[in-house]
Amino acid sequence: MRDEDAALVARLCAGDEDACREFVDAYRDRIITVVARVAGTGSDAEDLAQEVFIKALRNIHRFEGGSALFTWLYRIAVNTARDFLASRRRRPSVPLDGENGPNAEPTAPGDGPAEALLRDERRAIVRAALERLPEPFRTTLILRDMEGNSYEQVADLLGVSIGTVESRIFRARCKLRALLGGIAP
Amino acid sequence: MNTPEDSRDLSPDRASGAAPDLAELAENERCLSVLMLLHDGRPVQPALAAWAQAHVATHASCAAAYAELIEQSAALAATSSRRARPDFTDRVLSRRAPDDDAGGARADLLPFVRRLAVAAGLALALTLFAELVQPSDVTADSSLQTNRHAADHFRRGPFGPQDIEAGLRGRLKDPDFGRQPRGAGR
Repeated sequence: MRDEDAALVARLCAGDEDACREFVDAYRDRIITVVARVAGTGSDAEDLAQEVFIKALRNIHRFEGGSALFTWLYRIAVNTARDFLASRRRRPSVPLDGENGPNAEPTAPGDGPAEALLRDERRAIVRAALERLPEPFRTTLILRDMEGNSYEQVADLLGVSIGTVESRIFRARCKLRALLGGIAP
Repeated sequence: MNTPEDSRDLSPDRASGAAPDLAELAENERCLSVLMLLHDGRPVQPALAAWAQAHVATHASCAAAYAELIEQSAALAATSSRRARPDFTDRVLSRRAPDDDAGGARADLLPFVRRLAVAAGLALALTLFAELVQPSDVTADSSLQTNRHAADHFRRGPFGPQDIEAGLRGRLKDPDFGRQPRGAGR
C-alpha cells in the first residue's frame, strides 16, 4: 500500500471525520464524472456518487492495498454505475445531460465562435450516439475513450481479458461510427 | 504484407470514391483494427503495422473511416468532467452517520434475534421430548371394555374408523342389540 494511502486508510478505519472529508473531497469530482458517464444519468449522478463513497467508507477496512486507494474507489464507482444501468434497462434512456451541465466544454485555443459551435455540436452528436450503443460496448468505450483508462485497466475493471477489451473497443468504435452515419469499415 | 486489392485500389474507380466491395471492406476492417491499436499505443507486430500503414495510404475509403474513428474518439475524450456541488461532501458524511448507527444497532440486534430463535427452538424440542417419554395416562382397565367402540376407534386393524362406525350403526337395527342376556339380572 502506498504511504499516503496507508496513512489515510488508517485514519478512515479509525472513523476520523476529517479523514472522511479529505477522502471525499479528493475524489468526488472524478467519481461523479465516471458515474455520470457509465450510468448515463445527469441528475442521479450525485446520488450514485454518494452511494459510492458511503459504500467505500463502510468497507474501508476491507481495502487491502493491492491497488491504489483511488483505483479501489474507482472500481466501486464503475460497478455501482453498471448496477444502476442494469436496473434501468427497462426505463427509457436518459441523455448525458450532466455533460451539458454547468461545466463548460474544453475550448481549443484559437477557436472562433463558429468553430467552437461546430465542434460542440459534433461532440453532442457523438455523445448522443454513444447512448445508443448496446452494452457491453458502450461501457467499454466510455472507460477507454472518455475516461482514458488503459486496456489493462479496462480489462481489470470489467473482469475480462485484454483480448476481449481490444475486440469490444474496436467493435464499439465501428458501431458508433455506423450510428453516426458512416458505413461499416 | 500487401494484398492483391492494393494494386486494384490504384484504379480510377477507387480514386473516384466508388463503393468498396466486400473484400475491401474486410481488409479495411482489419486495417482499422490494427491502426486503432497503434493509435492507442497497443503492441502490434511490426509486419502487421507496416501492412496497415501501407493499406490505409492506398485506400481512400479506409483512410476516411480511420479519420472518422479518430475524430469520434477525440470527441469522446474531450468531454468535460463533472464537478460536485459544494455541499456534496457534507451530504455524504451526513448520510453515512445515521446509517452507521443503524448498522450498529442491526449488528447488536441480529445476535439477539438469533439467540431468541435458538432458545425457542430448544424449548419446543425439550417439551416434545418430555411429552413423548412420559407414560400415557391411559390404562387397560374395565372402562376400555365398557367403551369398546371408543377403544376400537384407536386400534390399528384391517377396519378403519368409518367401518367400525358403519358396523355399529348396522347393529342398531338388530332386534337383539342392547337386550340383556338371560340371567344377567340374577
